[in-house]
Amino acid sequence: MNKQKLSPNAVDLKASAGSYSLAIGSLVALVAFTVIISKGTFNFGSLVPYKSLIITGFLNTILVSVISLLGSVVLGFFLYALSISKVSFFRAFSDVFTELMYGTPMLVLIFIMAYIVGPAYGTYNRAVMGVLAIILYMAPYMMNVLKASISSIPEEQYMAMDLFGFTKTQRYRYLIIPQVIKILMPPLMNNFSLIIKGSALLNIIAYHELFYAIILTGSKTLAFTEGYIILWGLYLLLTIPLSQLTKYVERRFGT
Amino acid sequence: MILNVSNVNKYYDEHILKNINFKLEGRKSLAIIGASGSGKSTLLRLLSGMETPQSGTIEVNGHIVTEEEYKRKIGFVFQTHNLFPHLSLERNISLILEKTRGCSIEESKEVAIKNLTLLHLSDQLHKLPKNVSGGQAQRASIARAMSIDPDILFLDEPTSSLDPILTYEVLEAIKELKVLGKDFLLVTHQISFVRDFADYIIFMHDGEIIEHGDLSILDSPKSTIFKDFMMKVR
Repeated sequence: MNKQKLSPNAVDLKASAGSYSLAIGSLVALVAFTVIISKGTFNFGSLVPYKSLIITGFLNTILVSVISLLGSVVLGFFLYALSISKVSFFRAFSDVFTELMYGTPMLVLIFIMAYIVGPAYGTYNRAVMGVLAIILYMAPYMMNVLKASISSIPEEQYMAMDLFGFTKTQRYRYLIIPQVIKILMPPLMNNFSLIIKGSALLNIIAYHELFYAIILTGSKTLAFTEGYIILWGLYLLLTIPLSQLTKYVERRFGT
Repeated sequence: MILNVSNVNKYYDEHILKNINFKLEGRKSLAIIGASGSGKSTLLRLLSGMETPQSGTIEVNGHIVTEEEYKRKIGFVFQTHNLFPHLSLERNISLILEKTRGCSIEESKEVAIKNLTLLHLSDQLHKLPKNVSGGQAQRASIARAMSIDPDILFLDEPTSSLDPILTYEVLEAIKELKVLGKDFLLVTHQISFVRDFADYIIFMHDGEIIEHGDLSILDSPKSTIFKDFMMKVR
């Protein structure tokens, strides 16, 4: 009996380049059709004077996303370290913090950081507090990614590391990180994509990121539809190459 | 080697080692045998200091086994090769020497190649563990354990994951190491190998040492449990 029929594998299910072109074409056509029937004419030209506003927003989105990615990986690693600590308080702290973040909508957290926590500690810099909110929000997800990939290393390898006398830093630097990086990359990139998309929420605290820039432009030119189309396109410009890169990394480093 | 094990108890979910008391002096090669689940691998791990008992003390060659100094002088070969999968066979060894033993890069490489050659792997130096056979990987793991110049080499069922031909290949390689004059502590199911290699035997059952002595106990087991065991493995 043909085994592949029982459990379809990646090879069976891989679509051809032609099918991809067709799929992309039909989705684009559907979107274009919807846009056209919603509004007859377009005036992208009216957005041109606000080009630099939009570009600044786009660059700010990239900036806050990268900072949030780095920040949440660092904080996520810290949470992971707490979660495997010998001190039971630290483990509990990591757990409770994780639950707290899981239960909080990012939107709510951004408000709380910008309007309660920030002022409480004497800062009214909403941009910083907004980014901090994204970092706090994403950290438990980053912790999970780290935890899952690090636990993919069998117990006996840790015994060997211990026996040979590798220091903690050496273990991570030479043995753990090089091994987990390929397992780590895809979910890490997914989280990065979530951060990019989530950063749009910073518009509610009037941070000049892409979404905010487009809304602002729209209110000045009344070219809202054109703005939304550009907005969508620009987000896809960031996220689609990222997901393609993830797939490439998986193929390149996969076994 | 000198072993001094007193009142050792080890629990995981169950009581694995039950008040083990044991002394040994002047032997070079100790084999621990017994059925699966008898506690023999656990005892080996405790003797290596890799795990600690809930109660009791273990001394090997005058060292308490949890001392860092002791751990630096033992080599351990696991049931599976347990090599670091992202490093070549050569790098699996040289990294350890370079980072934990303070050897220079050249020296580390040299020792790695020497030990891999000793285990007949001189043509596989730059391959990753997944690209060599199970027997070759296990031999590389033995080379790795040897490379730190251990006083004692621990072997925890080193052939249990291999087919008979690869098992033969690995056991032959281990026999060749005997001339190096190290102490050996091994757990194995291969009784014929024990006859060739060991000079003292411990038979364990259900977390207890049932019999121990030199090779002759294999031919004249006293207890029924040991007799049954020998009947089955012969």
